[in-house]
Amino acid sequence: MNPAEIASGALGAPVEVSLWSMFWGAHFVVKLVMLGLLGASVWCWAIIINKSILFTRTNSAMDKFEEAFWSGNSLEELYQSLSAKPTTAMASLFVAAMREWKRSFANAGSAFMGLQARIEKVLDVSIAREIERLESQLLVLASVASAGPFVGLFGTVWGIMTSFRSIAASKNTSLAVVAPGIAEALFATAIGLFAAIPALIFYNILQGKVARSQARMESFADEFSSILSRQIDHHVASERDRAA
Amino acid sequence: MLKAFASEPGYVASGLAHAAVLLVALVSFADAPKFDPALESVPVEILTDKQFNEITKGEKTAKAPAPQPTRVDKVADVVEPKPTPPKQEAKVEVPTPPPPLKRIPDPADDDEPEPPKPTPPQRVAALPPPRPAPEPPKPVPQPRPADPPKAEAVEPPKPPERPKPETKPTPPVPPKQEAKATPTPPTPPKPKTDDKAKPDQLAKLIDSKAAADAAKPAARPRASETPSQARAFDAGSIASALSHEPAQQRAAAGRALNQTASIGAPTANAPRMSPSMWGQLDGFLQEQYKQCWTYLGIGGGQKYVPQIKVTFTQAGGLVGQPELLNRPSDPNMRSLAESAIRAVKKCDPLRIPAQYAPFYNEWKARILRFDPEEMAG
Repeated sequence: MNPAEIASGALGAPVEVSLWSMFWGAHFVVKLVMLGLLGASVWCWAIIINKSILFTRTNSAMDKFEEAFWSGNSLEELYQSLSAKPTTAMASLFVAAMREWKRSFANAGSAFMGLQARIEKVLDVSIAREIERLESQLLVLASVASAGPFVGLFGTVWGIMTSFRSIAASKNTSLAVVAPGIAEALFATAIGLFAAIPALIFYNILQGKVARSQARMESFADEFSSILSRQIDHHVASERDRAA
Repeated sequence: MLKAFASEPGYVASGLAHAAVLLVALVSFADAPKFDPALESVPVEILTDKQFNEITKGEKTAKAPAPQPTRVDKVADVVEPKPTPPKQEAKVEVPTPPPPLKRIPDPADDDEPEPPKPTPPQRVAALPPPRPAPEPPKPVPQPRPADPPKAEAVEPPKPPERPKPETKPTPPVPPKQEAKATPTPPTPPKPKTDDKAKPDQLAKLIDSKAAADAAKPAARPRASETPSQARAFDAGSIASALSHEPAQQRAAAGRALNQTASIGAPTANAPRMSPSMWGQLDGFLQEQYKQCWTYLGIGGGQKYVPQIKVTFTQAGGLVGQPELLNRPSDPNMRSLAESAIRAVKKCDPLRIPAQYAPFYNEWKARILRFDPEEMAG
């Protein structure tokens, strides 16, 4: 942004306003803002892609698990097959609850009194863990969506400041002098919006998906805990019969 | 690393996508679309010569142009040079008399007083030289200086015929007049002596009365000679003054342009009424005449519309009598025509809005059509 360059540019051949020259001619701070916003955009899109893939996988896994769970097969067999490999979402809830159940039965004579409460606790914890896994990095999207335009605006303000200073220095207000500086400055805002708009849209979409899968997992946890509590009651009754 | 990319391909995909977008942007932004050189549209109005002349006709309401102080200086400049040139010419013309000197030898050769006499009148009529003209005889009288005593000697006998005092005063008078006249010309004292010689000659030639009469007219022409000389000098000076003036006049003309355009006459017909104004005016007239016109006629099968030619004053009053242009052939319709004329007279001072005042010439003479069907509504 040397005034002399601008003046010569104004007098000489028309100033080149390609994307690269716009970036290269910008002030250091504006360059930093542009690069930062570009990085944020890359990051946001990476998160968006990863999360989209994760959510589709989670959804399909939940569908598959529910199908297996309600197929009428023995829960014991299901547990055996699932506990061998790392699980996701509902399967992990099921595995965690079954593990707690089995552990309670392994120590014979251990009280069934707290088992129900324990299972529910375990289910809550594993739901929270799953949600946290799904929700992670969504805050980055929210931050970029809200801060991106401001950062871009900062770059624009800075660029316009420098371009006005160059006007004052060159004492020339012709559009050829003013336009390149303002184009550079506006480029920063453009990048900021370029990063922020998709981030905002996908943050809302992904947040909705997280909420839906959370609701789905909680409903499954309630159903499963009710099944287990029925089993517990049944077990307690049989124990009482045996004792009698 | 590979596993991480496989499980979370977002970063790679996002980076690649951004690189692609940047590449596309670089290509697309490489050449900024230049604006087409915008042709500024200039509103053009086509005027006919008539309209143009009307525009340039001038405004009627313009105030009288105030005298501009700047012109005074120029006028003063022009005035100053005028007095000076005649003075110079007067001086310059003094040398001109020498030509008569050339003639001097001729009368000397002739020794006759007559030849010089005819010459002076010619010169008096033509040019200032009259004075030099009397001079030529001077050399002639020189031989006669002896005569004056003779003349005096002759005169004394004459006085007895007539009262002496009359004759005596006469001779001294002419010299006084001559003495008065002599100072005006710049000529050296020589002419004085010559002039003195003149009356002597005249006295010799003519009687004392005749001499006195001759001296008076002689003195008169001399007195008149000074103005005539001035006129003559002016005539000469104009020619020389003209050579000086043009430059000054050009300067004056150049500086003080006629800034006030010709102010149109109050009744000049420069502005034209637009069709809408005509329509409005017709509406005004119709509305007013409708109130004045009362005609309860029989709707006859014959259609008759009285046309009345009216001339208005600027205030809207009538000029002269309204004139019925088409007299009805049908006597039944005469009442309609008369009612129309009555309406015109009744509405004598028409209210005509002030906006039509400038267009007076256009509407001052109107032909009013009193159509019963239209007016009835």
